[in-house]
Amino acid sequence: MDYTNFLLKDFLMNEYFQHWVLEPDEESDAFWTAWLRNHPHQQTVIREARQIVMQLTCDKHAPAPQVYQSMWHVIEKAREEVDMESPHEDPKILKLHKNHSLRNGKRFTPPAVLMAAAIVAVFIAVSILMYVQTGPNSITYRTGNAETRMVVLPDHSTVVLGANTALRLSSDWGPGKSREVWLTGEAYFSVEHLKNHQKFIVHTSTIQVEVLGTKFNVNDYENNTRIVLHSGKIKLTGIKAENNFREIIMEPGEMIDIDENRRIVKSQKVDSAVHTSWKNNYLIFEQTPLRKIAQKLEDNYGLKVKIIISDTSILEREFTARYPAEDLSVLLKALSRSFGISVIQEGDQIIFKDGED
Amino acid sequence: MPVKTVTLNKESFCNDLEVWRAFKEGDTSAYAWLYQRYVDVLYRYAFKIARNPEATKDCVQDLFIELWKNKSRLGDPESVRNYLLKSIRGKVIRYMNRRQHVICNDVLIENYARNQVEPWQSEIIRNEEENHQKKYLQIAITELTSRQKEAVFLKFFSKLSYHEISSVMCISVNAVYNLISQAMENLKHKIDRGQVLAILLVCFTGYLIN
Repeated sequence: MDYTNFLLKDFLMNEYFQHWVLEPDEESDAFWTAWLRNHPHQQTVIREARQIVMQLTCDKHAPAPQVYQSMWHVIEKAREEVDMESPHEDPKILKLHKNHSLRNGKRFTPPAVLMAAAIVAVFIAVSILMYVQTGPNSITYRTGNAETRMVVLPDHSTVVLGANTALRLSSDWGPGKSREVWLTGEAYFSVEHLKNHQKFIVHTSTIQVEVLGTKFNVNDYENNTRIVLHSGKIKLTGIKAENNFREIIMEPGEMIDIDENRRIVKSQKVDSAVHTSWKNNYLIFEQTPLRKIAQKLEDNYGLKVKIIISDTSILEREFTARYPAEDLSVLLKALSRSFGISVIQEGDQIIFKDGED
Repeated sequence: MPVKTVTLNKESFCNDLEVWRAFKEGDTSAYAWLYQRYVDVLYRYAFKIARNPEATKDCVQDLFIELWKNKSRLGDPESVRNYLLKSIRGKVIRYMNRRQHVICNDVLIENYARNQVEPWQSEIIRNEEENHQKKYLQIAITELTSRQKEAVFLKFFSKLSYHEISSVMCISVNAVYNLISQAMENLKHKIDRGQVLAILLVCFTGYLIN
């Protein structure tokens, strides 16, 4: 596609241009900035086109959140009536429940109906009776080995879950309340900033991460937590310092490690892309010692790494490469070649041994 | 209430389809999830066509109630979102056709929509070039035809592809191109005119044009 003679309208209509303005990614951003450098005569037009597209994404006709709540009341009432007229067979649902293994399967427990207490108070007594909930319902997303999954939360934030990860939502996501999640495993968060400054809090096994519209990575395996901030600003709370708790505000490019006693173990500046590459399904290693790679294999694939090498100094030798996460065997072959050892997978074990494959 | 569990497909990228299937099986929490997820975009889209909050509310409510009534007869759409957008569109149009008096009052409704924009005359004089364009643009958008507004909403707010829009609006892809093209022409025309006006306003400081 030759954009050289594009007029304003042509840019506005072009889907790749729209994509760059509305949902930019590394690839499109690199393309357009380079193109602009080579075609400076189009800079004014493109700037104008960008402004217009940005304006077009605004929509003025947003009703107050209470409108959606009151609409839901009407819908629920009608639904109850429909169900009373023709009761649906519960056995169908129980069958689903029985057929699926709850241990290794990926579970999805749906969210509760979100009813703000304030709204219930406004409506008449009959309505209140219909919306009583029996105990907390929460939604939990889970992933298995070597699996990444993107999940969209009710507030349109997105979370990419890493392998062997569980993310639980609190049962009362709604206007005016905190958005809280509990994480074990690894997740990359892209949090929507809400107009009412509603907080977004990630609970890990050690600390809480509080955010206000940002992109960051949380790695919480085996009660050690590592946070990498890509863009925006986050606040870490619950960190132990001597006799009291403290908070830390993180800046983009920072990485902080927390141990199981909630103490800061390491704090440094990093290239956040390296630490969040997994969400594009690549494992990136940059001068990573073999010892750490073994840990990564355990975390990512749920395998046990057994090391039977006579010269343990090999474990400190570093490795720099990038591999697709899906194909473990390719990575293992590369490790074997680079380190001069035998790297073999047997069932759910990976064995590092002397001698080459 | 027993906890209902559903095992998810490993290949799923976004979990809409699993929730949709759970809802079809009668899972009320999945049903609530779908509402939470889609009510906003459905409301905004329906409003573009109905241009009236009461009609919009009625239609969105009706849609969800009907979904529940007919859940066992529903298939699995390729995109839950697009299926719902298409459904609400049909619903709003049928609703409006039944109420002829709404259609006859087109002009009144357009004015109602236009008046939702804040009065801008005095502010413009103080603002910069960019803000000039923003206000003019917002006004210009309200002056597009209903179908142009629909297409613009789906393209830029919901970020649907031309192909998807043609499916939701039940028109050809070419027709979608034409709609967006006309909309862009109108906007450009109004912005240009607006910029001329802005210069005039600056020249005659303190004199408000009605």
